[in-house]
Amino acid sequence: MTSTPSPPPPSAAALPAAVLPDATLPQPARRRPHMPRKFWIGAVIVGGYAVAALLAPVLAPADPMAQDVANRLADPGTNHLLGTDELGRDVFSRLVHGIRVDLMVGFLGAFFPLVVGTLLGALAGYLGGWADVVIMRITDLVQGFPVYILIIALVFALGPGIRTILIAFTAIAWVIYARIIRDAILRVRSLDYVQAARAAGIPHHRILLRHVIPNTIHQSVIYFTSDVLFAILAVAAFSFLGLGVPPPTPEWGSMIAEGQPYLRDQWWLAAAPGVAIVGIGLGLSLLGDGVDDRWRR
Amino acid sequence: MTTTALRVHDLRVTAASPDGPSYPVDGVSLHVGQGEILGIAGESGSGKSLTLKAILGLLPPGLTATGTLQLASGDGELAPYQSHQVRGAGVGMVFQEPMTALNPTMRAGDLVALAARLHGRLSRRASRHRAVELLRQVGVPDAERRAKAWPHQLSGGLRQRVMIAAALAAQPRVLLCDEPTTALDVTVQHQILRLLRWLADEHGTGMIFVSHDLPVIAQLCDRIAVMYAGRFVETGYTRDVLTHPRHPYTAALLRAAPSVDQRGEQLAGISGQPPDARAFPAGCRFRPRCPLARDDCAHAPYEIQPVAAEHGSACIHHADLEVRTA
Repeated sequence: MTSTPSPPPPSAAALPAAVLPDATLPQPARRRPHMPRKFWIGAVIVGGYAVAALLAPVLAPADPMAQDVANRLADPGTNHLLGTDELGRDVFSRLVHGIRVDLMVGFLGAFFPLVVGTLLGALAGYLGGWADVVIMRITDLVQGFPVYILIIALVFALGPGIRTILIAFTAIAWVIYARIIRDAILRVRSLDYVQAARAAGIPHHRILLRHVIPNTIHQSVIYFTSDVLFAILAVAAFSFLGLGVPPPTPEWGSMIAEGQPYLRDQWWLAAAPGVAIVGIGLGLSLLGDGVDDRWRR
Repeated sequence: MTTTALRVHDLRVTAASPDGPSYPVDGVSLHVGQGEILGIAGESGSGKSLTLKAILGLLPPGLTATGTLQLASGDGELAPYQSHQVRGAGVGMVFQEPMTALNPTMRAGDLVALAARLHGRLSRRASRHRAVELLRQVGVPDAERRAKAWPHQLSGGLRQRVMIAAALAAQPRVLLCDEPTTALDVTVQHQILRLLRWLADEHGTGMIFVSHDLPVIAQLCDRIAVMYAGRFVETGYTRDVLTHPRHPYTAALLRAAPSVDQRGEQLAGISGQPPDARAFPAGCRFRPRCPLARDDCAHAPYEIQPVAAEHGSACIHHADLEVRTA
């Protein structure tokens, strides 16, 4: 290492008083940095899916459940944009209606764990003591099991269906949020503004909701976007295996399963829902990554 | 003599550890009158901040407090209290660091309004008006607009005013100030001190002002308590104590404080370190650093003895000190 002699720092006494900042003047508002580009790309993709889900009845040219056996396995064309499946149902219509099912299960499957995990983690971190011990040992227990084995066990116990999948997700995915929030609270709890709120006589639940959670939730939001994706993939996977959304409800995973026998000639039957899953996955990943970058600055 | 707003008797903070308990605050007694400002002066680690936290029951985990805490009720009668019941409306607190003591996710006005709504049982709309009113009262210029500002948009002085406004929203009888001006620069510090003095005079708020800064205490406080190693060593009216110190520690602190007339002279430090709470010396705790220490100081009982009207010292040789300073 080479060291170059640095010029002596200017003496504070030599500065005229007018140069020194006057702390009573308000500082200009610090501009928040913009969201990175990938956040916006992801937002547009996810937003596009959401709009398509809302407008599904308008966008879809046909009833996704209507069978037309005389016209089964039709090639893509003007009548059927992506052809028809083995029961003559319009694949494009089923794909668009499938967004509703998959996005809903994805978001709810990540939202319930977020709420449950945040509340339980907040209780553990803020109250400490036996509440902390009990809640954290349960998270250890849940995390000790392989996730898919747990879900499959619950599906067999409760029967297939959307409700089961949501219950299974909530029972499993809450642990990560509980851990994030608990650790964040242990850091935040000793901070001055939480102490100040306690000194002001603000009750515990308000301190948690107004002072602690808003300052710790951003890490959970990042996990939330990846959990939505995880939930969508899991729903598709379980439906593919026949453990998820029961037919004839249009769902991407079951559509892939139904298209599998015709992979050699009508490959688009399985490929189209596959591309749809990849698309939403890409969008959600970019979105979460962008949020993450923004918060790390 | 004003009516007493807060009385603390024989407050002791116990820190449990595997080597046995220690007492970072060891038998502190004090009282604050309405509209009176009591300064507690001392070095870092003397226990002055812990004293404030113990009064509000905000001690960190592992520390427990014993002693009698009494607060004046509406009719002026002193009554023992549970700390979690008086936080806010009975006793408020202003913290040292305005940068970290405001929640970064709450607008300044919302913070003040929340406190106003909880203690004044106001509606949302009324509490918002009250918040702007309070901000204006503590000297926030353009309070209407500032109420909508986030903490990071405010300067240190403004944040400290917001914190004071939030503490005042509950209309506390006593305000505890933990070095509220230490992190501010001198001109802003002066404004905040004037604000606190005004609050004591106009609203009758009693205050305990903790600081290591003797000139600030001299400027602001009616009475002063000098704290060393978990105990008060000298108490009295600020003027008496600072002009005629009757404890060698107070005298040493005064010599260590810079002042304009000592320009060019070397500042006198106090040799040695303040003792650790786990190993307080027996007898007088200042003895190892005291230039006047004698053999009998090692067996001196701790007791604040009256040395003049409303002036007490814990030094058993305070009479000699009077001769020296006179």
